Amino acid sequence: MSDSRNVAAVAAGSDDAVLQWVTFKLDNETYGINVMQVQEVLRYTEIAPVPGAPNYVLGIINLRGNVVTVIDTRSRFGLQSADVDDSTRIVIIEAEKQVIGILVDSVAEVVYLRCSEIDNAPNVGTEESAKFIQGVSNRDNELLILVDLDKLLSDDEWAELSDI
Amino acid sequence: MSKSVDETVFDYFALLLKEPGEGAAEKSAIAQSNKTQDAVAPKSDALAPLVTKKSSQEIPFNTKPEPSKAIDDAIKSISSESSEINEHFFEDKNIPPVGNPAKSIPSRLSQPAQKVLLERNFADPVENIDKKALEKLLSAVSKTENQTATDTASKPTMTVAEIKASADKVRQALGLASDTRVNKTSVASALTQKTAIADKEIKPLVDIKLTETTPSPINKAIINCEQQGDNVAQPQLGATPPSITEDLQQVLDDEFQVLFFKVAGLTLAVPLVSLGGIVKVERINHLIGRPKWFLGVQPHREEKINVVDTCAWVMPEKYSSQLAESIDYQYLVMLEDSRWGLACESLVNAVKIDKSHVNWREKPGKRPWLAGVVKQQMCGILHVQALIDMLDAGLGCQDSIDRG
Repeated sequence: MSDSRNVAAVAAGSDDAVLQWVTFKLDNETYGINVMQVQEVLRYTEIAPVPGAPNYVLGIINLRGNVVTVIDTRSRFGLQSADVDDSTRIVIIEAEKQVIGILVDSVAEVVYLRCSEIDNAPNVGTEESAKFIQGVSNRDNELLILVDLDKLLSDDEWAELSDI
Repeated sequence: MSKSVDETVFDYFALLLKEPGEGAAEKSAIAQSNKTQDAVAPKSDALAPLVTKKSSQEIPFNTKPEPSKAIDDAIKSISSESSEINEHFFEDKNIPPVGNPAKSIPSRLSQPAQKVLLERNFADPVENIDKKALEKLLSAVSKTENQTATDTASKPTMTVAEIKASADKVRQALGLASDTRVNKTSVASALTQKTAIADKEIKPLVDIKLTETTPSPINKAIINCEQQGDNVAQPQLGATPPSITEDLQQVLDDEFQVLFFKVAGLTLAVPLVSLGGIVKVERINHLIGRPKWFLGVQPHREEKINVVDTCAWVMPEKYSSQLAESIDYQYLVMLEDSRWGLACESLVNAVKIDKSHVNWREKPGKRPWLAGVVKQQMCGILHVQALIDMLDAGLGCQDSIDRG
């Protein structure tokens, strides 16, 4: 992921690099993920549950012949589950050399942010989910929470996920 | 009823004083009395008729025969260094002559004193007692004491040094420290008795005091709980919290303004010099993985305000989901120039108060964020800088903080 960021920064041609972020909604909050990690966005499709899988795994989908594991993002973020609706999307991402899908409430847009516009999140969290947030940014008087996808799962969890 | 050695010795001195004063006409009566005394002497109660020092002290105007010149001289030799005793025994020049005890008891005596006099019967004529009788009387006491008393009794007229030595012996026999002051030797016995009685009375009081100061099991439990509480509150950083409010008091004028605001019925005050501003609550963005007291982040003028759920932070023990639902935050009280804002339900007012109207906290404690209590409004006044430090460190109100 850091390589892709560097590419974007070099492309911007300055120290204050401009990064593109795909924003999505989750429990009325807007989150952003680096566009370089996003492969595609899918409408909700049937997710086949996997017996014995960790609780943060919703199941698997067939993406053009490839099996992709879908993560329950709400559960991972410590949020309550919600019903699937028309705006629900599965965002296919690449992180830690694995391709996975994350279930989100909706996908909004792609935004451009300068590095200088990104602030550190308040360092008051002690929970594991606190480390998911790599920063926050104020855009059009709306807060965008930037997620570090690489930290969405721990090393062990990434390894466990690869075995499914 | 047995008497103490001191009393016996003193009685002996009293007898010595009386004996030479006997008139020749009284010798026949003395001889007759001796017979009676001899018969009575073996009994321990025989000491009772003797004049005790204690009783003499209590009733200084007690019967005392007119001393002869020789005795008077002896008394004077002693009195040069025993003014205290003399004050008790010989100062009263209006001592009535020996007579019937009942008659000789002054009417000005209190009833208990009269009773003592009558019971002891010490005013009975003692002029008939001789040395032999005295030896028999003194035989009633222990060997050591007897020896001391006998030694003393063998010398009708004593020098100060002799009295001193005998008194020391007596005191040694009693296991008391030797008193170098002669004028206190004879009084010492009475004082010793009184002290012994007083000790008996005082000791329980001392014990009670000790008991009072010693933590009771309940107090111990409370102390232990507090200590455990302290230990529980410390694990995050485990250091001394910022405690004293001197820095804040130095910044404040004698009269300063404070803003009162309310949270879930609780009124808090913040000095205006520490107030960064008031912001209307608009949209607070929740951040995952944050403590309950962290409401989220609210964008404001290209800035991001870290919103504190004041109720959850200040009263975590009372904070429940029901209470959380009932709270309707309207404003954010910004802390100095930090990003931290305390959510509050309503702003009460801003008033001027005097420094003396605040009960400032002086000792370190668990709540460094609390500078004191405004007496009139009976509400806590915030130590904003300490509060900011704690929030920056991600600490709750009951956590300690390391400022070093």
